[in-house]
Amino acid sequence: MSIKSLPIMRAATTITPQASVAEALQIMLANRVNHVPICDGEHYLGLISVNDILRKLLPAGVQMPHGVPDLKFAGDASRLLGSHFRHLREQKATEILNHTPPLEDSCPLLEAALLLSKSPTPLPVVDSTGKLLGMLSRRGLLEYLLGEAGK
Amino acid sequence: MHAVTPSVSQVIFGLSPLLISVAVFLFTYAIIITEKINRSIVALLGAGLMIFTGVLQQSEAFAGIDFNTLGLLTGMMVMVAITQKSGIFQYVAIIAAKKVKAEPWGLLVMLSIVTAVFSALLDNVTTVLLIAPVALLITDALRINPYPFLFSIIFASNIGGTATLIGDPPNIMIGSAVKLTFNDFLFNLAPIAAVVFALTMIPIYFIWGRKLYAAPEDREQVMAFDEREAITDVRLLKKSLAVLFLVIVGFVFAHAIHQEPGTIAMFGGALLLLLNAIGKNSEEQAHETHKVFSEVEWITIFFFVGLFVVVAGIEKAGVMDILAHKLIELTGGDFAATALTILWVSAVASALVDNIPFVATMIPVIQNLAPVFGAENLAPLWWSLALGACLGGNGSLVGASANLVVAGFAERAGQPIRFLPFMLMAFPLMLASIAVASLYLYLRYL
Repeated sequence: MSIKSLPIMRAATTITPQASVAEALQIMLANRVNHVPICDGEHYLGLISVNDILRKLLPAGVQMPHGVPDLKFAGDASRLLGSHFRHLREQKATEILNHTPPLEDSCPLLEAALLLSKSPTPLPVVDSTGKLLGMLSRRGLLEYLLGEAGK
Repeated sequence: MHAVTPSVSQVIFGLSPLLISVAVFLFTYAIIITEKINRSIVALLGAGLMIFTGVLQQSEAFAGIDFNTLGLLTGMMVMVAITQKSGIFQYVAIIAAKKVKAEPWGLLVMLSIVTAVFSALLDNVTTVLLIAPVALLITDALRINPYPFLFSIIFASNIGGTATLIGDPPNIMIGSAVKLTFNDFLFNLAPIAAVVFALTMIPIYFIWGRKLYAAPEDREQVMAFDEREAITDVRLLKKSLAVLFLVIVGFVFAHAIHQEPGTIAMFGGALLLLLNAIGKNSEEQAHETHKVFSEVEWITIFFFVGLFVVVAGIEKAGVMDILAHKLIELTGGDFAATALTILWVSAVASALVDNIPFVATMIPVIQNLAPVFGAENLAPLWWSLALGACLGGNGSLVGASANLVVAGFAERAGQPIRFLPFMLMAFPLMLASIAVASLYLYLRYL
């Protein structure tokens, strides 16, 4: 049994590689999701999440290993955040996409549960050619298990 | 390097120890230079080969390892690993920025001075690991190009490291092998390091400094930084500063109390570990202590171990003696020419390859010059080696580990420091600093 045969995936809204970060953010806010897959046609390229956007707004000096450990001393620095945001929203979403490895639709259920438990976002599901089939979320998986347990 | 007790080598297949040791040495160095395999692995394998081929016996290999150097490095790394948790380095950098009202050129000079002073007292890699992220944060808030700042931090760290016994690994090795004290280094190298630092700032001003501009609103933002918030642990800070102070005092009086810097640094490290552990249960103590030890740069330590053995191998085979004779032939036995040759060759070599193996090789070569010039007259040659090896590190991106660390930060900050453009600026600047050092050596010693 693999995730392909189970009714647990849901269709995903996707964006094209040409979309800007601002467009990606607007789509996430409108759809009340925290991530959106980027697809070239039907081919999965990667995910962009609200967390990727937030992290990019922080100064480079804190994002790196051995960087500044906390920023309490820096105050609000709203000019810095504002200037980073203006710069970031014009960038292409593909420039900050994260290469979350997708699940193959042949992945067994237990392995999918393990990978989901370690992932900060839902996981994209692709077929063997890399075509995006949908998204698998913790909620979707648990909903399915709840329904099964009630039978 | 300790003198290796002479014994007859029993080299495999009855081959010449000279031939085998040189082959192992060249092979080891060639692979280190390619940087395809981690240098500590290569050095340890080279050391093993020196023993397996029969050039050295195990006891001779151990005698070749300078445990004073290892103790000094490890002890300092332990103390820094604990101290940095207190936030003191961010604190100092922010104070420095506010002292100049976050004006970009003043800021560049201040951050360079802070880097140079810390590099003189700590190892360079640690210093730039602590300063570069703060510099990036401040330039980010000022919305100015961080490149000149990172460039200056590289130069400041290598120049500052030149100034003291503990500032840079070459100095640690030289001081340990030749029994030169902390004060010897301070009196002979700190003045020229200060001059070179000041002179280096001049071209940096004309190339970048005079064009740096930050908007008043952005400077306000930096002036609003609260340095007191950067101190995360006041008690730890007090303990750390007390121990560091004691250790520095110990270095200054090391000669008078007949102790080696390695002992003083390791004792300081143990003392600070103790203060850090007090009041915690055994599980927390184990966790804390393990964490501190894991921050020691074991790659550097094992690299040293392997190199010391490899160099002991060629030393025992008599290679250093031959090299020393060649050097004398080249300079016609003239002391001044010898000193300046050592300075310039060390500088160019250290710009292109790691200065640690170079200095490890040069120490026994210079020791072998004692019969020619007299052992008590060699001091200027040691200063030539130290100045060349430390300042030479500025010549290229691969000249010193600290340079690569800064380049790593720059890359992540989206302002990569490329090898050739850096060298185009840095190599001439480095040569100028060596010219100044030549003048200093000539006027003071030759």
